[in-house]
Amino acid sequence: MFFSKKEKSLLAVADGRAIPLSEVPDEAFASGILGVGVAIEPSGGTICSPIDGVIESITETGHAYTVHSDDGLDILIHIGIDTVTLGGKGFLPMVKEGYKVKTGDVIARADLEAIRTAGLSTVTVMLITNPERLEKNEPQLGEVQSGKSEIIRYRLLK
Amino acid sequence: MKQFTYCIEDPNGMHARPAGMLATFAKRFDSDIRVLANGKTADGKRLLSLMSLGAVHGTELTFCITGKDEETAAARIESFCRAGMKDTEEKKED
Repeated sequence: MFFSKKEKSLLAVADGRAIPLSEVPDEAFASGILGVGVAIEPSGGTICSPIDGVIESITETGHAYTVHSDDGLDILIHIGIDTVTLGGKGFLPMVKEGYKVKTGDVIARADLEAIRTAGLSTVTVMLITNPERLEKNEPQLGEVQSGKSEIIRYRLLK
Repeated sequence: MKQFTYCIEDPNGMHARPAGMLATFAKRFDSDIRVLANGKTADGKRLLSLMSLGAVHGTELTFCITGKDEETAAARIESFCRAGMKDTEEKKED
């Protein structure tokens, strides 16, 4: 009997509505040049890890997090668009670099209202920045719940 | 090995987008690309690794490029940095 390579999934990083990357109001993300993934229009500001792994970096401003997953994926979680310009206002990191995280662990809290008040989009992007490791990936769109709903189904190469 | 330094001009430092653009650009080359800053060494082809340098506005990055296409890689990556982490040689291939 043949064993099909195992299909795995990344779970939603926030509650809200998952949309294709192409709808993200930022060319670099929308074009897919930085990696494959999916975005969420968040309805709440609790941001969770989509996968088991280690926090590899957190921007000083707390708006972007990277997780190196136990199975070798490089994941970027970027809260809001152009939010680097807020200089940290509205972002509260709940983890530190080097922390081991499980799927669904809270990694940050974001004040969505503060982001909107600054005139910025709250669309939160989750990217796999080493898509060369993937045999396939299928975004799952629509209403999602953080740490519960599948957001990308993927299969690793080899 | 080819080496050059570049001082970050982006007022927001090495945040996600420039790090991602640099990693994507660097992946075009066979050479091994190391980026040194703040006493840390990053893999120039990995967004995550570049972001973990914690490089801010004014941080000096040292690029160490080793491999058979190191000459071309160093010249093109340096131009890429000096253009403000923008790909000015973009050619669409799809």
